[in-house]
Amino acid sequence: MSNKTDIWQGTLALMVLKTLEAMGPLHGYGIARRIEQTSGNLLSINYGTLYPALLKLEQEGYISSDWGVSDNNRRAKYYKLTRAGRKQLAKEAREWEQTTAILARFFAPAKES
Amino acid sequence: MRIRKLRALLFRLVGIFGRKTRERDLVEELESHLQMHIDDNVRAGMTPQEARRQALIKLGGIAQTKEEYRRQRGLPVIEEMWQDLRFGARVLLKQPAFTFVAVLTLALGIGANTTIFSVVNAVLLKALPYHNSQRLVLISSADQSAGLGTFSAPEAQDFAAQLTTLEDFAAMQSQSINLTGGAQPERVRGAFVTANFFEVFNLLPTIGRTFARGEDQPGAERVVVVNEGFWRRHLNSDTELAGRKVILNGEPYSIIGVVPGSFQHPLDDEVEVWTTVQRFPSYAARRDARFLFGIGHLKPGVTPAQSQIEANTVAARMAQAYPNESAGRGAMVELLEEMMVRNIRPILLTLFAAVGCILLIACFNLANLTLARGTARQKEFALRSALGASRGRLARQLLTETTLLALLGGIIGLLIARWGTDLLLAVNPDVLPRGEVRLDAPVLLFTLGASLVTGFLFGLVPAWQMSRLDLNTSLKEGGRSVGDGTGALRARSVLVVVQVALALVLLVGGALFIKSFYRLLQVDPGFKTENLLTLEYRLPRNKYVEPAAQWEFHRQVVEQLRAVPGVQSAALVRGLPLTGNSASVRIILPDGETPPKGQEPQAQFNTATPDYFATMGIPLTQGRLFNEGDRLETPVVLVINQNMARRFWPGQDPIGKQIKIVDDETTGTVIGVVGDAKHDWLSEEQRPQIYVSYSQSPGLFATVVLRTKVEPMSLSQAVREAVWKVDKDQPVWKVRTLESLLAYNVADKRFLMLLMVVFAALALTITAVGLYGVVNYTVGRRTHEIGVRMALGARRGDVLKLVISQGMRLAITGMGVGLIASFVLTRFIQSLLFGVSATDTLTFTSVAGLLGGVALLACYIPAWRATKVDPLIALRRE
Repeated sequence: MSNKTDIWQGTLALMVLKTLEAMGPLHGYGIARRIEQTSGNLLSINYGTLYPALLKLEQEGYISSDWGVSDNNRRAKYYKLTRAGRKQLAKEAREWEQTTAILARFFAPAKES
Repeated sequence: MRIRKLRALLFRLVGIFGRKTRERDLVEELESHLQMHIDDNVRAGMTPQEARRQALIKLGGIAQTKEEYRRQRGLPVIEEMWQDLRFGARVLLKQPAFTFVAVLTLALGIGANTTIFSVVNAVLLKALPYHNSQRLVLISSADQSAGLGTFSAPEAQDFAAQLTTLEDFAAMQSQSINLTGGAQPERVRGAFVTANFFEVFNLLPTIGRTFARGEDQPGAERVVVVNEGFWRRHLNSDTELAGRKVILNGEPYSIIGVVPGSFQHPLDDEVEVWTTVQRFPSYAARRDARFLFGIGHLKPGVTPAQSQIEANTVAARMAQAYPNESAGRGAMVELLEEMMVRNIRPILLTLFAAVGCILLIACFNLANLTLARGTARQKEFALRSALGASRGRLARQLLTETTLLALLGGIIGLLIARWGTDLLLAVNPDVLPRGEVRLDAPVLLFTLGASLVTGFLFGLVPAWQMSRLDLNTSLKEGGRSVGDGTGALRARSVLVVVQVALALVLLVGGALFIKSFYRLLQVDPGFKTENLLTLEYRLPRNKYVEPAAQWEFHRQVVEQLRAVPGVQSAALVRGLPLTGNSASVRIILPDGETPPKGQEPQAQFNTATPDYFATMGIPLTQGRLFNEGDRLETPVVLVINQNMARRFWPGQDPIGKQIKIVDDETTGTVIGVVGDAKHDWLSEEQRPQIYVSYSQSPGLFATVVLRTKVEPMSLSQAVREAVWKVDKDQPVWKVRTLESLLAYNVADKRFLMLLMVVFAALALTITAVGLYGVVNYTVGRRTHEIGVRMALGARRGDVLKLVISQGMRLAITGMGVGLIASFVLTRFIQSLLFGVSATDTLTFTSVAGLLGGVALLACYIPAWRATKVDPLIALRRE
């Protein structure tokens, strides 16, 4: 149970970092909507998973937060990528590509035979 | 990467604090998230209500999110523990009655355990303060009567040379020594040792030297080693020893060295001066002049048993080589540590087992109470789990509470133990053979461990029950599943049954020790102990060489003492009963057959003046006592006890019969028979006894017995002065009453009995409270049912019977289990009992009766309350 959550959290963290890189500073709601859209609404983010993940990233210093005002004039906490976060994103993206490439090799021949 | 983790950890640590602002922050953030979601939903065309509903469904429970967020923000383990602790403390404070009972029960249980453990630790666990003490053995001689016997100097030499399983071997004996030359003659305790004695203990002198090779041979200079205490008191802490002398037993000794005061002479911790073996007052180079114990180290890897086998061989060889002196004698090798605790160990282990039982009973009691409380709290727990608490978390909360209670109990228990050990030592300092009983690090660790284990143990069952909580039923029904379920009830019943069983075992133990002690006190020692004062002295050998001179001194002492106002009668005896001074001899009856050497019958042997028997209250049953006519030069006359007369001359008149004493080859005629008297222990089997007259066998040592008309100890100075009138340089010692000797003689049994009674009473109380609690609780639960029954016409008697029978079923089951357990367990204490069988039927039944009575009372009170139930109110309650 906890193992599964960890994997999900790790992936979620990567998604959050990528989203922030693409969109610039964004509030939690925005991040959640963006991830859902990007996933083609295959993912549904509730706050129980999102906010602890954001907090963890902030504790690790990959993102920073500040209160601001949203487009329709609501007070919201905005998250933005830090320099460490950019580096971490690049590194994780590389690792992710590598992992998927390796896994792809495993699945490709299986299809052939 | 690692730095990032550390950073996160730091943030989380900080996150433990300042939670209020952060909490507000999060609420605000979640609120804005929700609003934005609602805004979007409205924009998508939903009504505001629908928009809100959809958003809430989508986003999940706010409470759970907060909990998740909190877990990430701080360090959940520490934080939750802290939360649990604070919450637990609040819960406990809200129920002061429960908390008070629980802490008190635990404190008593843990306190009793700590007290006994501190004694066990000091006496059984700590190593003796000697060089390689775990290999240190005492080697003693043994004749057929077993017990600790002594070697003669030549025998000791042979053993030292022939025991190859030993690394070293020194011989020793201790005795009181007269120290003169000061303001008053004094008695010091001295040891007579072989020259290598201090090498065995690897003990270096702080000043001067210890004995050199050859100094323990006849003809060597008189030298003495003293300890620091003696050096301070008698030598003014003078570091210059050259030329310093002390007068011991009337002879000058050169002081050659000072050893640390921390060194305790084995078997006699009063020893302050050490001199060499040939200075022992009754020293003789003869093979049968026995007075020495051997002490030495086993070689590494050698077991005491292996050494014992070798000692047997050496002893057998010796018996063959010297049949006259050594026939029938063996040798015994025993670890010193073992020997010193041989008598106290079973006592301490019994007590330790008893306090362990008490703690278990206390544990089960509190587990039961906690279970009952769990029922009351299940709504709280259901609510908490609905709010996001995991089951593990709830169980942990319960365990935290119980551990908190146990730690509180432990702290107070430590105070109890502090007071308890003081009390224990005050009651009986002499029962415990060695070691300082202190609440030191091992004891504190033990207490902490005991508290934690206790808390865990008594929280375990309730926590387990709680983790099986069915959330839906609990919330819906308003609390009727946990603890009401048959599982919980069974758990509670089992706990009560085990408690009752344990309590019964303790009660049986306590009762057996009471009966045993009562039997011991009923023993007729054969003499009257009240108004008897005694003291001892030993004449210096060089001053009173001739038997006639010795007798003259003794005679005058008795005369002087008789003249002391308040003294009714005065007498001398060599070995007074209950003092540990005793001698036994092998005898041959010239009229009968002569048994083979070494297998002659034995008798206790004593020397007394004529008035001894009247002074002690030992009756003359036949013939006459000693009188003025029995002198050194007249034929030896003997007085025997009834036991001896019966054993050796059954149905005959023993007067005029001859007895030959093998040890000194004298033959005497029986002139009188006196009553039997116990000698070493009240609990001993009566042995045959022979008395010879002081006037015919004076010797150096004497014990004075005085029957007084006033409080005996009030004469202590007067009797000292009476002796000094005869010789102003003669010290006397051990001025004490016979009653104190008697008390000392039964001290260990009394100690054991008192503690067991206290422990059994404690167990009984805790168990009664436990039983009461369970019955009371079930009555509470069945109020409705009882109401219905009464409404349907049940009478009070029926209700009483209903409730009582339910409680008594548990009690009787527990008693049954306890009786079986007692039957199995008490055999382990048989050796500690006196005059009562370990499975004494009367004790078992009366204890069961007592426990049954108490159980009945514990059930009756709640049952009686149940009859007061008003059917109307009871029915309306549901």
